[in-house]
Amino acid sequence: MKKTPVLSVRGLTRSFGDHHVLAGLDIDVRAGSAAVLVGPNGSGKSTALKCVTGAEVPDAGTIEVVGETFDERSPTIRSAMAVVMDDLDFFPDLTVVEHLDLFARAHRVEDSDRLVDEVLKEVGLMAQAGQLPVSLSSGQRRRLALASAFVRPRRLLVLDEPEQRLDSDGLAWLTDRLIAEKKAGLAILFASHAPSLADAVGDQVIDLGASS
Amino acid sequence: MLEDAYVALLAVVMLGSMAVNVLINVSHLTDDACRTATCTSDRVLLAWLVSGAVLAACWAMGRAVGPVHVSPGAASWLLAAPVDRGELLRTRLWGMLALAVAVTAPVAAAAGVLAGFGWPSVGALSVGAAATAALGTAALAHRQVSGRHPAALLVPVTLLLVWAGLVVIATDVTPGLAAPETPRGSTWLLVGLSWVAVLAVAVSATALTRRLRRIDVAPGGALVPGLGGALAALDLALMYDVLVAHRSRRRAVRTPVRGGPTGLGALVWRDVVRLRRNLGTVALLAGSAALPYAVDALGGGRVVVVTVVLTGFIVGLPLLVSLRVLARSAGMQRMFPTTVAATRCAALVVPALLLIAHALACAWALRDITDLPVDAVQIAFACGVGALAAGVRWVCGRPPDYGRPLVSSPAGGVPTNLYGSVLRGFDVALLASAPMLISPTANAAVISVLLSLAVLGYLTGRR
Repeated sequence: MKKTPVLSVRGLTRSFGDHHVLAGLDIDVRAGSAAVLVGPNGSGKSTALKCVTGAEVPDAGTIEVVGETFDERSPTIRSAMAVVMDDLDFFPDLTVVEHLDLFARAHRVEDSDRLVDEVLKEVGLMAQAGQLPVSLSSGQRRRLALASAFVRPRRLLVLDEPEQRLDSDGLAWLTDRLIAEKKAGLAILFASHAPSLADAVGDQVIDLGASS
Repeated sequence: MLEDAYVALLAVVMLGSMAVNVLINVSHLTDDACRTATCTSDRVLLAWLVSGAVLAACWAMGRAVGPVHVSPGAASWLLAAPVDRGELLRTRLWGMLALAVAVTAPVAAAAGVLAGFGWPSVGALSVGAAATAALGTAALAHRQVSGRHPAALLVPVTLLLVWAGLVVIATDVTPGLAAPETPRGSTWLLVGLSWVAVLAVAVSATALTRRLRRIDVAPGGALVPGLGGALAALDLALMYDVLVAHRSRRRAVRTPVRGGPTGLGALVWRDVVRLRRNLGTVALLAGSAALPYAVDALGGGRVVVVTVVLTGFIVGLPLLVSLRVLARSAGMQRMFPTTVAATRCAALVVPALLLIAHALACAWALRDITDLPVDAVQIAFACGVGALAAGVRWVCGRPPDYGRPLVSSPAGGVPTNLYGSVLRGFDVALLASAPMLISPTANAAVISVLLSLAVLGYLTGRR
């Protein structure tokens, strides 16, 4: 039996004035699979992700997450959807580990201390656990943003160019991690400019540059 | 160029003379209204407290930016060059000394005029305050070089003295001060010696400037353009963000605190942890309760209501860090599995409790304007909720939007909400205070609470 998509997008359309950025985009992402949006700058990758996460309102089209019509105010959808975009700001007075601890506890994760320690170690921020985000490098801040998505329950992972500012080791880790996430049954939608990441993780590659 | 200088000079002279005229008129009016020994004494003490407060503000700003600092551009190319950096930094130090004098002297003079000092005494107070400001700034420059230095205590000690003065006024303990017509010879001698000390400390600080490291002068220089940019947009909340980020950079490592409740309780618990970390904020909030009592002792009447709301609003802003981030960052908001309103309300629990407790601590200062003591408690409660609503308005306000239609002005096109953004928070403080200013009764307090709750409901629910 074919599994119901965790994310289903139909006819997504978004225009800015006369410029049609997205014209009837369809995406289905099932549990245990990944869809990757590729294309040059301005082809609509981030706009599509913003529409899917509720940061932007599409002109037309429907979005369903875990079988529910998308409404980013819905706690059910928020619980199911872990998002890492470029708009994540951190609390200026909370340390790295306190951020992760807060997110895990807000989602009522059992044994959150163990999970937070594991993720911290995995993203290579154990030594920076007591630092405030403002003192981290841009790459470390990116790792913290990604870690924030991994310490909470999720069924759908939405990432906007997750490879940004990561070094080669970081990119290798991210590739392995996303493959592991898929194996664990997660649905992943991400935009990327890194062909190696897109090829290794993406089950379906949606080239927005080809359609524009 | 010459034309611009002429216009600027004329504007300063005209506005200055108007300000002096207003000050003298207000001073004469106060002379007529304030005839008892207690009132006269409190008035003189107020002049000292205002001078102390401006000194503390001046030194706090000096500490935040350096006081010796260079622009990011100069830090990247000039400090790396094999030249004597003392030459560059000396001018910056003397510039900051001049700024300290230019800010402190007129404020102290205005305070002296309003307190009814004679003109020679106004001069002595102004020149003395300016010398103290310059002395403190030069001492802070010494601290920049040596790290640990007693100058670090300047701001807290000055604030403590100002607070003690407020307590003296609030408790009606008359120190028997009188507005001096002409200062004694010893006063002038002291002022003269202060300037000699300024010269000595400034010269020795100047000699030390070549020992300043880039890390000592660059962060302050990076702060200035950030503050300038926020000020250009009249976005006070953004200015505050810049200052908070700067402070976080200076002390970037903390001992993590983990554990606590789950769900939205985790956000509330984080605010409790913040309080334990920043006991100074709680102490400042507790200490600021002296201000409404001082206003009451000065015969402020219903103005005490506004004082309670404004004090809670301004001193309570550091309690709203969590809400500020949630309001400005959609990404952070998405991290929580709850509605926007629920998340923001969780971030309000601790600030609400503290601000209401602060207002209730001021209830005794409101007894004179009400018929029943229980009314004073209800009005105090309404003031606490009003202060919270004003603070939430301040941190949740949207920045000026340059994407919307602009209004033509002599300074170019400005967004419609640019000037209004300066009044953000103060508008709600006035709205919450208005019913109790008109009629300080329990019913007015209920209306005020309802108005504040309506504002809170709108702001916490807004996406």
